[in-house]
Amino acid sequence: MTGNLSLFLLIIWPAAGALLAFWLGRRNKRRRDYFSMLVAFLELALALFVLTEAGQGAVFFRWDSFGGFGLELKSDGLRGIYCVVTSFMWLTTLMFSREYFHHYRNRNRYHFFTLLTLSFTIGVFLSADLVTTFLFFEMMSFTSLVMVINNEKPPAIAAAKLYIFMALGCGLVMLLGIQMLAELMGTVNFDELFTLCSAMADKSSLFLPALLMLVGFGAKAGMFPLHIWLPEAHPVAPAPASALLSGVLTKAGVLGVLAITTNLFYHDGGWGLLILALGTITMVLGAVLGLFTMDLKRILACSSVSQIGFILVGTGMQGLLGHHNALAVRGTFLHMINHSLIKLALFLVAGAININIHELNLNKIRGFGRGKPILHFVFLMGALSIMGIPLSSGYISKTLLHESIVEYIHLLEGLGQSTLFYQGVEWLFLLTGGFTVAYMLKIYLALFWETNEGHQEEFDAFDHHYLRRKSNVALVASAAPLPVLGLLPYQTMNPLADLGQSFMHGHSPDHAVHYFAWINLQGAVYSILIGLLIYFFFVRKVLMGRLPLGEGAGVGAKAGAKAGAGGRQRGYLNRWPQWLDLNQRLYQPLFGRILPGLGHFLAKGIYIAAEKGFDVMLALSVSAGIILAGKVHHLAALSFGGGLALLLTGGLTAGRLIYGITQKGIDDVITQGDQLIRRFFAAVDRAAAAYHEAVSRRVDQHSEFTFSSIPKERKEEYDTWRGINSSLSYSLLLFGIGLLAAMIFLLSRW
Amino acid sequence: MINETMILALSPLLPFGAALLLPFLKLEKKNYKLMYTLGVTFCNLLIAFYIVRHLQGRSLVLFKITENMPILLRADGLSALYLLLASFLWLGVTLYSHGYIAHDRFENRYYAFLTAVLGSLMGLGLSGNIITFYLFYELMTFLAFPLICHEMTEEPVKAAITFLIYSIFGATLVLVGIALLNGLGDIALFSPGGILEPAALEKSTYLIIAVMLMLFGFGCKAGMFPLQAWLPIAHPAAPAPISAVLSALITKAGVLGVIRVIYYMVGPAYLRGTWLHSFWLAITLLTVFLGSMLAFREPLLKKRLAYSSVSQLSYILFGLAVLEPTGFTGALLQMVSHAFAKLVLFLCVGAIIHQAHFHHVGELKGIGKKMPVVMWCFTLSSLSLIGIPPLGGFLSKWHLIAGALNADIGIFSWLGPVVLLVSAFLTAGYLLPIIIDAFFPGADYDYNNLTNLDPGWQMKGPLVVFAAFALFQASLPSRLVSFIAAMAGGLMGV
Repeated sequence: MTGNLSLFLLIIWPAAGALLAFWLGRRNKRRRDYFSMLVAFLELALALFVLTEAGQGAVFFRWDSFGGFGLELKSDGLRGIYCVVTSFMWLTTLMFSREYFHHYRNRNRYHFFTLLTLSFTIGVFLSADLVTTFLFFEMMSFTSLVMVINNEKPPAIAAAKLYIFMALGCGLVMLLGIQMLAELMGTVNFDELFTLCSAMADKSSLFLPALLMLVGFGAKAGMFPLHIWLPEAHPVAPAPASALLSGVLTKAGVLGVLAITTNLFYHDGGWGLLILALGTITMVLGAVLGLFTMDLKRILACSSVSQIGFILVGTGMQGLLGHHNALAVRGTFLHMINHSLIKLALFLVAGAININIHELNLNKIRGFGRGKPILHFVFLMGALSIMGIPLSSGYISKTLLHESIVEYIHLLEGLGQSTLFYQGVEWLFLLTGGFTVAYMLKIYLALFWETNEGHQEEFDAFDHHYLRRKSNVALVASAAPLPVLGLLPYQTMNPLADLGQSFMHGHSPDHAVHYFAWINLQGAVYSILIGLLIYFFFVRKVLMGRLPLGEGAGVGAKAGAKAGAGGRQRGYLNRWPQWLDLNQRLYQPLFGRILPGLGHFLAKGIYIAAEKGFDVMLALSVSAGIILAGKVHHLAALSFGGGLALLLTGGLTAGRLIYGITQKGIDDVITQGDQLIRRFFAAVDRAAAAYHEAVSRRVDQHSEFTFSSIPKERKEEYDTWRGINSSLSYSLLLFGIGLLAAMIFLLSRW
Repeated sequence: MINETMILALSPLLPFGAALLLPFLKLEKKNYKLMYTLGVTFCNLLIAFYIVRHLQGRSLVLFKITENMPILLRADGLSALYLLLASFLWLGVTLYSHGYIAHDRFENRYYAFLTAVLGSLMGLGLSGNIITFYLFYELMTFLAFPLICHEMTEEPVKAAITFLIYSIFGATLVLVGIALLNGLGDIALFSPGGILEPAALEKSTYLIIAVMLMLFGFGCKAGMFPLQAWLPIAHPAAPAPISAVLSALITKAGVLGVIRVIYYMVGPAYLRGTWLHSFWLAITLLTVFLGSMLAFREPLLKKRLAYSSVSQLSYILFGLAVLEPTGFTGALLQMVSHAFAKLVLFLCVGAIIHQAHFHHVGELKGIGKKMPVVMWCFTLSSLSLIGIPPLGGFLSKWHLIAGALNADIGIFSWLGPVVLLVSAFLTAGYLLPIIIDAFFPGADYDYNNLTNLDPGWQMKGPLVVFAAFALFQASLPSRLVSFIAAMAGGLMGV
C-alpha cells in the first residue's frame, strides 16, 4: 500500500460503517439511523479534505497485491468533486430515509447495502485503472440491487431482475473489452492509456475494445439502446434510493464513457460522432418517454435518461471539437453535477408525497402540493434548473452544451463543410429542451396548481405536518445548492469547471463566457417557447382527456367543471403506443425466451445424443459379449434391426421438426422439439433396455441358475445387488482387458 | 532403512490404514468416531504441509513392476497444490459429514471409505509417473463407488453404476493410450515439458491417437464432452458431502490427469497447432456451453449444480488447452476457486435438504430468512463462481480470458472468451434467481412463522470457513498466482 491513505479510507470507511450500522441496528434502530448519517457526514468531511488536496494536483493510492490484480486509486478535481457530491447526496437521503422507511420492513438490510453502495460508488469514481473500475462497478451493481428490490412487490422484483441481468451482462461485455484493451496496450491505467493512445496514429484497433466497454458503461448510464432497465428500476426503488440511483449511479457509467472518450479517443472525431449520435437519440427518446408518462417517479426516471443524453452529447462534442472543446468539457461536467443535484431534490419531493399518500400517479396526486411552501420551493428549484430557465444552474450547463454545438457548426462553416447534420442536432437539442419544459410543467401544474376534486380537502388537511422537521431539513438541504449555483455562476460554477476539467484533459476557454448575453439566452428562450407550445397544444389537448370510468379518483378543477355526462372526468391519459415498448417487444422475447429456448434446445439435443449414444454403444457391446458367449446367432439380426429402427426414428424426428418450423412459430417448435427429443430418446432408451433384457433372458435360459427362486419381498434387494455385481464384473473385465493390453505392450518393449 | 522421503508414502498410507482399522475399532460413541476421523484427516493435513514445505522435488520408489517401471511417489508444485487443496477440504467435509450422516445404517462403511478415498487422492497428487497415477486413479474410482450408492436405494445404486461404467471406460482409454505411448519416450517419470524422444515425433499419427485417447479418458472424469453424462446422474444421487467432494476433488483428479499427460508427458510443444489442439479447444468450449445451458433450465437443485460443474470444469480444461502460461495459471486458479465454491454450494444444498427437505429450485422462496448463514455462504460462493470481483472466480476467469487472447490459437482466441462470458452470464442466470428468491420472498411473505433452520455447528462451521475463503482470496492470491505462474513458466519454458 503506497500513496495517500485518505483515498483508501474514503472507500473503506462507509464499508466498515455498513457493518457497524448493521450490528447496531440489531440492537437499536434509532441509533443505527443516526449512526449511518454520521457515517455519511464523516465521509463528506473526508471527501472535502481530499478535494482540497486534489485541487492542488492529483493524489494517488496503490495496493499492488490486492486480489491478484492490484488496486489503483486517483483523485483529481472531477473525481474529488464527485466524491463530495456523492457523499452529500448520501447524507441528505439518509436523513430523509429515517421518516420514509418508518413503516418498512428490512430497514437494517437497506442501511447496510446503501452504505456499501456508497463505498463502491466512491470506488468507481476514484478508480485510476479499468480493472479497479470494473471491480467497484460490479460490486456496486450487486449492492444497489438491494436498493431497487427493497419493497419486494412483484414489479420491484421484476425490475430488479431486469436491472441485475442488464448490469451483469453488459458488465461481462465490458470485461471482454477491458481484457482486449489490456492485451492490446499492455496497461489498463487511465493515465498510461492516455499517453500511449495519444501517440497512436491509427486508432481503429482501439474501436472494438472501446465499443465493448461502452456497452458496460452505457448500460449503467442509461444510454440508448441499453436504457430499458432504467425507467423500470428507478421508480420502483424507495424514493431516497431512486435519488441515488438516478443522481449518482448513472454518473458512474457516464464517468466511464468520459474516461474512454478522453483517454482512448482524445480529440477523435469518429468516436465523438458515435457518442454524439447515441447521446442525441438518448436525449430525445428519454424526453419523449417522459412526456407520455403518468407516474411521477417514472417521469423523473425518463427525464434522467434524457439528461444523460444531454451529457453524452457534450461528451461527443468534446471529441468532435478537438482543441476547441473547452465549452463542451465544462458543459458536460457542470451538467453532470446539476443533474445529480436536481434529481436529488425532485426525487425527495416524490418521496415526501409517497410518505403521505402512497401514490405517485399524476391523476391521484394532483393538488397535493397546494399550500405547502417548502415542498413548492424545493420542487421549483429542481424544475427550473432542469428546464434550463435563465438564472438557474441548469441554464448555465445547457447553454455551454448548446454553445459547443454552435461553435462546431461555425467551425465547419469556416472549413466550408456541410453543417446540416449538426444543425439538426442543434434543433433536436433545443426541441428536447422544449420537451423537458413541457413534462416538468405538466408535473408542476398538476402538483401545485390544479386541485384534486376527490381528495383536495384531505390533502389540504396535511397543512405543514406532512413531514417531520428532520426530513424537511433534508429536503431543503437537497435544494439549497441549486439557487446558489444558478444565481452566482461566475463565482461558483466557473471554479467548479476549472477544477473538473483536468480529468478530461481540458483547458479554460480562450475568452470568458458571458452567460447572460443575448446570444446565449436565445437558446433557452427557444426551448421555453417550444416547451410552452408543446404543453398547451399537445399535453393539454392530446395527453389529457376524459378518464375511463372508475379512474376518476382525482380530477382537475377546470376539467371537472367541463366533465361531461356519466361523471367521466378529465385527467392524464396513457397514450404511449404499446408496440413502441422496446423492452416488451424486443428484449424480453429475444433474451427471455427465444435465445435461451434455442440454446437449450441445441444443448439438450447434443447432450442427450452423447449420453444415449454412449448407453447404446455400451448396451450393444455388452450384448455382443453375451451373444458371443452364448452363441445366440439370430440376435445379431435383432441388433441390426434395432439400429435400422433407430435411424428411421431419427430421420422422422428431424423431418417433423423441419416441417414444424415451416408451419409454426419458433416458440412452438422449441417446446415441441424439446418434447420430441425427450420422447425420441426415451424410446431409444426403452428399446436399448428391452433389447438388453431380451438378450439377458435368452442367455439366462441357457444357464443353470435363475432368479425365480428368490422370495418376492427380497427381489428388489437381489436386483440391486445383481446390478452392482454385473456392473462391477463388467468394469473389472474392462479393467482386466486394459491392464492385460498394457502389460503386453510394456513387456514387449523391454 | 528409514529416511525423510518415507513421509511421502505416509501420506496415502495413513488414511488407508486408518480406513482399514475403522471397522475393527468398535467406536460406539459418536464423538469417538468424530475424533478418530477428524484426527486422521488433520494428521494428513499436517503431513501434506510437511511434504510441501520440506520434500519438494524428492521422490520415493515404493516397488518396481518391471526393471524400468517403478511405482513412484514424488512431490512437485502441482502435487503440492492438489495435496493441500484435498487435505484441507477433506477436513471440512469430514466434519460436515458428522452432521449429515448421523445415525445412519451404513455409518461405519461411509467413514471408512471416505477416509480411504482421501488416501487415494493423496496418492494421485504424489504420483511420480503415469502407471502410479493410473493405479491410484482406479483405486479412487472403486473406493468412491460405495460412497455414491451410500443410501442403497434404486437411484443411488444406478447412479453409482453409471459412475463406475463411465470411469472405467475412461480409464481403459487411458490405459490404451499409455500402452501406445510406451516406447516413444521414458514413461517411468513425469517430467516438465514432456518425455517424448525426438524420434517419436515422426510417428505422429500413432502418437496423436494415444494423446487423444488419454485426453478423453481423463476428460471423462473431468466431465468433458462426450463422456460428461455421469456427472448429473451421480451428483444428485450421492449424499451431499459426497456430491461436494465429487465435484470439488474427484473430478479434479481427471483434470490432474490431463495436466500430467499434456504438460508432463506429451509436452505442449508437440500438441500446439495439431488438429487435436483445435479439436480439444472446440470440445471444451462446447462443454462449457452445454453445461451452463442445461443448468439454466434444470429445476432439481443438485442436478443444476452438477450441470454447472460440467461447465466449470471445462473452463479449467479450456485454460489447459490454450497451451499458454497465462491460460495455465487461469486453469489452476479456476481449479482452486471452483473447488471451494462448488464444495460450499453442494454443502449448502445439503444443509437445505437435511434441514428443510427441499430438493427443487422452486421451493426455495424465503429460505434465506430461515437459513441466513447457509444462504449467505451460498451467495458468496455463487458470486465467486459467476466471477464477480474481487472473489476468487474473477481472477481465474481474468487469466483464462487473457491467456486465450494472448495465445496463437486462431478463431478460438476470441471465440473462447466470448463463450466463457456467455457461460458466466448463464451461471448468473441459474444461480442468482435462487438467491433473489431466497432473500426477497416478496412483500406478502409470512414473517410470523419464521423459524431458524440453520444446521448445527458441524455443518455450519465448514461452510462459513470455506465461504470466507472466497472473500479472503481477495488478498491471498498474489502468492498463489506467483506460485502457479512460476510453475507455468517452468512447464512452457518462459
